[in-house]
Amino acid sequence: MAEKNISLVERIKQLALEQKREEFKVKEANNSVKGCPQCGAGRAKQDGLTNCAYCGYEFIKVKLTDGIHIKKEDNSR
Amino acid sequence: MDNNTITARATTFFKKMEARAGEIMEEAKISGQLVADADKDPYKRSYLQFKGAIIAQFTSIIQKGSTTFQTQVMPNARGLEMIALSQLYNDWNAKIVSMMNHAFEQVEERNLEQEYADIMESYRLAIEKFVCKQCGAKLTMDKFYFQASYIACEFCNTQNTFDPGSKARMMEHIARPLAASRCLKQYERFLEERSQSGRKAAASAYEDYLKAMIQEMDNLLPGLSEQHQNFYERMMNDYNKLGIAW
Repeated sequence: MAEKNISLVERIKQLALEQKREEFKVKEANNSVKGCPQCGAGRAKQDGLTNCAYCGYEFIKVKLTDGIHIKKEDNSR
Repeated sequence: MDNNTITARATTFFKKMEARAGEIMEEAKISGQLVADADKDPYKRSYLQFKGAIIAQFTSIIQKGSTTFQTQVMPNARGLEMIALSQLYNDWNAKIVSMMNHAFEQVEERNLEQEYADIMESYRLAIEKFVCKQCGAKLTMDKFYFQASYIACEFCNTQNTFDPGSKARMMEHIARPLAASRCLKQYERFLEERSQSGRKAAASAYEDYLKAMIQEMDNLLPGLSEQHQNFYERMMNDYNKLGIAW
């Protein structure tokens, strides 16, 4: 069968649609709690986010500043 | 060399290039929408690849016309012919650029309202089932979290880490185009004002449009009001000082 001549635009369209891409991994919404890996204590809001209130384990090295949801008050005292 | 031949040859050449560009534009208008509809990638990479390739075709035509004009047309033109040929080239160049812009003007890259509705519905269904991982109490989600956030349980105070998932995270990518599409009336009023009275006189209409768009963005992405305000100020500055309406 003779090859059908396709236009340049059609060729570009086919190439674009057939292009293999890195798969977009869909991540579902989820919820988790991170306990202290050192002593197993839970993490509560009033204790702050950066250090474990019981054993002092450092969860977050940097000092938190005001962001969209995290505020500087979330630094452990 | 005969100057009439130069004019005739240049005219024929630019007409052929214009016809070629016209063919590409007409085909791209139809194919563009087909590709956009068929492309299920969240970032629309196939559509953008198609669009990029078509724009490259137009720039190649423009480049060829420019090179031919500079190396073969003008060096062989004499006297008043040069003025006529310059005008011919400038008109041709403007036409090709206009075609390049028109090729994708009417293409709806994504159905933003539908995407927004899908995102919010997925989010609503997701948060209904979320409970505190420590005590099992229902978590209070008082707003739309478009990125991973700490949610404190109101009963046991445990910090839960909530990740809204890929779909909700896409909200940041579509917020501005969605907000702009919802303020189309203000935008058209600004365009009309600008075409009738000029850039400076239309500044207040542009400001109205921007304020409406920023308000929509604040509603879509809660918590980013300060960033949106900075964005608004940058846009107004660009318009007033550089005359650019983004």
